[in-house]
Amino acid sequence: MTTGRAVRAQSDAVADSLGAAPDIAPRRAIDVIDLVKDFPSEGGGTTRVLDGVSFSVGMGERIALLGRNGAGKSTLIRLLSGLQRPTSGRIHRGLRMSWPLAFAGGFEGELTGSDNIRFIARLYDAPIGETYAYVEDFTELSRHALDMQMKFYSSGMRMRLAFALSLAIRFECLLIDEVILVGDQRFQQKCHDELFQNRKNCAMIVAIHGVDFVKEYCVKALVLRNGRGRVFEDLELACAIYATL
Amino acid sequence: MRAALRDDREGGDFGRGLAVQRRALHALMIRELMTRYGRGNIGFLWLILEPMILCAGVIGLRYLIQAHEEHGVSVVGLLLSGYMPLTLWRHLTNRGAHLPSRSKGILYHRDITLIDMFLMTMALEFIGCTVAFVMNYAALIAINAINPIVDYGLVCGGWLAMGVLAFSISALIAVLTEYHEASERFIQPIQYLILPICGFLFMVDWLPTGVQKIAWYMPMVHCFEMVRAGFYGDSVVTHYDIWYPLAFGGVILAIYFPMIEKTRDRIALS
Repeated sequence: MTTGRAVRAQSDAVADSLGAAPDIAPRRAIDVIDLVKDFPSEGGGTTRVLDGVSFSVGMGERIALLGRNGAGKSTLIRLLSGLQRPTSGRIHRGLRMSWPLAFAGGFEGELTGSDNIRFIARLYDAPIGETYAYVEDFTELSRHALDMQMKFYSSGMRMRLAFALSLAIRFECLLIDEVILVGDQRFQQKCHDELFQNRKNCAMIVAIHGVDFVKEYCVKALVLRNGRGRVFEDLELACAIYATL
Repeated sequence: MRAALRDDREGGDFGRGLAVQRRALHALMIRELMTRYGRGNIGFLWLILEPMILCAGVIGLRYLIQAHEEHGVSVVGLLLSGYMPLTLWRHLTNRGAHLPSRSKGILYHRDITLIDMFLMTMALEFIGCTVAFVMNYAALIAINAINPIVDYGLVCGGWLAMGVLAFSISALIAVLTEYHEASERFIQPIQYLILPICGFLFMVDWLPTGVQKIAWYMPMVHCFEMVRAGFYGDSVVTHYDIWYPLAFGGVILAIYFPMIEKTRDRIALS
């Protein structure tokens, strides 16, 4: 794959400039190593929700998370996004990883859309002007709408803003939880183009149920079952197994 | 240490962690300020006005019933020195309940921790109440309703001690409400039960000797007494020990402050 080569060439260049041997330069990737998550269960004791899950995703790669409801997908997303800490194992975030794409829960309703944009820009050390311009352009929301308190937003407007904001910050790895397509058809097309053309060099972790999407866009899949996970590079096989779960 | 907490900080050196920390607190501070005091709502103004309404009412009453002094102490001064520390106590402790679950959405931004949220909330409440205290004091001095503070150091000491105490109880409440849903139901009753015994309405010296010994164990009493000692100087007899509320708060903080971050695992369940 050209992108993979490009990335490797780039890291080689970096390694050379540092005077280190190229093969010592670490691969830039998200590495999930033997992740275990226990939750306290009713009446004492613990329930193991994730049990030794490992995978790795580098630039330009898309990995699908497949699993029935209750298989541990949401927990894995929470651990990946950093909302919760693993019981054991670790997540090495060698790439700058996003929050779950289009996640709108972090918005403060009392604040205006513009306030929330500025907050995110400050938090992620992005230039405020550029971030604002990008969001304004991508969401196609008017300045008037952006200056409204977010508690008055429709769910469509919230989603647009959330989606645009997660793309406005230059993340290297995008975490996508089900909602790939939001808003009306034209906006959906826009999101699709942005993700799979303009950002095709980004790493992506996609939790999804649609197997067609997996076969078309992903290079590998992590199939989760009762908290245990296995990575398949053969997507036909992964989807077939997923169908039997 | 904070850098190590954030597992995404590759090669997490301390300087970088510190920069992230500063950025997160700065962004959060502006967000909180805008949420609570900005955008056309007059939340901050109310914080100042509320005690003023009370004082105005009492000044009015005082003229009506012509009771100028209580145990040789001016009633308005007694109110200000009681009501403001109580406001500080209430504002800080009220913000603690379910603070972790209320922060749930924002925790998806990895650079923000629950400790950040807690510190930010407490700092803003403390600053708000302090400004309200100063404004009210200035206003009452301007209309000559109270005598100037005799010992500013004692007022500040009592105020800070109350802050530390409320901060620690707020941490306790933040943790308990996440671990035991029912605990929230106890907060308001306990707050009301505390009211008559916390020192807001009385001075220790007015109490019978036997009751004084009991009041001595109430950490809030020491804070109120200190503030009043600062307000009135030697003209009243006060009983306090600043180390008691500080030690009390310190012990509670040592137990519950580290647990705030651990409530992460509870918040997604509810």
